[in-house]
Amino acid sequence: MNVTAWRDTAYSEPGLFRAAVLALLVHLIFFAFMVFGLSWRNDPAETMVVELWSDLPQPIKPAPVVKETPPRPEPVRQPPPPVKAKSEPVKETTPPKPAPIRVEAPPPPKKPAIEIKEKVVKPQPVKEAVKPPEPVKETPPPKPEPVKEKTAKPEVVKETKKAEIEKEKPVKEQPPAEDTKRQQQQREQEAAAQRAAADRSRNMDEIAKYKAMIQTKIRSRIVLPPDLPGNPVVEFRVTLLPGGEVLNVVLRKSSGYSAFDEAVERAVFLSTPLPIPPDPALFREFRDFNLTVYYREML
Amino acid sequence: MNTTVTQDLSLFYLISSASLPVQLVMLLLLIASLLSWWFIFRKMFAIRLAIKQSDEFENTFWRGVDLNALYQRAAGAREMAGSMERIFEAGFREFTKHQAGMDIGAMMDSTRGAMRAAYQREMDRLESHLSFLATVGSVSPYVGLFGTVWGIMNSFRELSNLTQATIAHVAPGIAEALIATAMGLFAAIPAVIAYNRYASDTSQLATRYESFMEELSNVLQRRAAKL
Repeated sequence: MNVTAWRDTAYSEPGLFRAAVLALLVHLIFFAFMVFGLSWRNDPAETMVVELWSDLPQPIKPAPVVKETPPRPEPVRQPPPPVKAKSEPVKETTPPKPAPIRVEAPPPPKKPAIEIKEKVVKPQPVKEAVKPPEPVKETPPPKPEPVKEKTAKPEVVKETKKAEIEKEKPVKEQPPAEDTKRQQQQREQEAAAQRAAADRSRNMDEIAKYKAMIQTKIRSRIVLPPDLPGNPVVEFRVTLLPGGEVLNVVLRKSSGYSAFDEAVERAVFLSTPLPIPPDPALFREFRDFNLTVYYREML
Repeated sequence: MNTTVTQDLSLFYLISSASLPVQLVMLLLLIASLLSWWFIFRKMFAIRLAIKQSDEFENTFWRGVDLNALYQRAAGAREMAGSMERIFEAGFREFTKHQAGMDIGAMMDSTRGAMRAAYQREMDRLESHLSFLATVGSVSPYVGLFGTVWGIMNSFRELSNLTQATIAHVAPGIAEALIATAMGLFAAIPAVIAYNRYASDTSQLATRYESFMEELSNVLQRRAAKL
C-alpha cells in the first residue's frame, strides 16, 4: 500500500493542462502568422498596365469624334471632357495633326457665327469651344470617313449633312430673330438624342462585328484535333492590350478534350494581334472578354 | 491546366490540394509538433519546480534543522515534496529502521542503496520525454523533406504531360511541397533547443542530488557513530 501511494505522488506532474494550452497557443499564433502575415496572393498589376496604354490611342480618336458633329458630345460623351483636355497637349507633340488644323484655321469667314452657337450649345471648356469649330467646316468630310467606312454609312452621313445644314441656317437667320435660334436649339437637342440612340445601336453593331472578326481570325488558326465525338465547347477568358495583342488567356471551361483546349489556346496566341475597334470606348469591351469556341461550327 | 494568373496560393488551398502522402506527412508533423511543444512546456514547469524545491530544501537542511523533524515534514506532505526531499526521506527511513548496536557499515550501505534507488527514480522522472524531444528534433526535418521531395516529384510528373511547360505549372506544387519542410523545421528547431537546454538542466540537477547524497550519508554516518 505504502509503495503504491509513493508511486502515485511521485509521478504527479505540475501544469499538464497548462502546458497543453500553451502548446496549442504557440501553434495557433504561428498559424495565424502564416495566414495573415504573409501575402499568399500574387495579383499582377493589370489595371496599371491598362491605364498606361489607354492614354495613347485616344489622341487620334477624340479629334474626329468632336469634329464630326459638335452637339453629339452632349449626351454620350459627357465623361470624356478631361480626355479632350488631355488630347490637346498630345496634339502639340504629334506634329502631323495640329499643323493642318492651324493652317486651316484662319480662312473660314463664318467663324464668329458658329462660335456663338457652339458656346450656347455646349457648356464645356472654353478652349474646346474655340478650337473645334475651326475645323468644323474644313475637316468633317475627310475625317469621319475612316471611322464610318466600317459603320453604318448612310446614317452618319445624313447626320453630318443635317448638322451642316443646321449650322448654315443660323448664319443667315441670326440677325432677324432669336426665337428661331431657340427652335434650332430644340431641334438640335432632338437630333442629338436621336444620334445618341443611333450611336448606341451602332456601338452594339460594332462590337458584334469585331467579335465575329475575332472569332473568324482565331478559327482560321486553330489546328483542330481530328475526330472528336459530339460538339465540344471550350471557353476562354482573353485579356488584350490596347493594340489588340493577347496579354493573357485563361481557360474558364474546358471542353473535356485537352488537345482541343490547347489547340484553341495556341490559336489565340497565334492570331495576335486580334482585330479590335480603333475607338478606345469600344475597346473597353474587348479588354477582357469571353471567347467561346465550338468544335464544329456549322451544326 | 492551372494557367490562371491570379492563383489562390493561400495556406488552406495549398494544404488541401496537396497529394495524400504529403498531407499525411503534414499531419504527422503537426502531431509531432503539438506533442513536442506540450512536452517542452511540461518539462519547463517540472524542471523549474525541481530547481526551486531543491534550493528550498538545501536551504532548510543546511540551516541545521533537526533531521527527525525534517523527515516528519517530508513524509507528511509527500505531494508537495521535491526530488531532493524524497531522496532524503528514503535514505532517512532506511537509516531509522536500523537499531543501535548494528554494524555501521552494513547500515550505511543499505541507506545509500535506498537513496540511490530514490535518486534513480527521480532522475528517471526528470528525464522522461526528453528522448521524445530529441527524436522530434532529429527526425522531423527528414520527414518534412520526404514530404517535399514527394510533392516536387509529383508536380514534375504532371509537368511531363504538358507540351508548354511554364513556371506557373510547377510553382503551386513546389509551394505546397515546401510547406512540409517548413512544418518539419518548425517542429524540429524548438525541440532541439529545448532538448539541449533540459538535458543540461537535468544533468546539473543530477550532480546536485549526487553531492547531496554523499553529504547526507556522511551526516548519517556521524550520527550512527554517536549512537
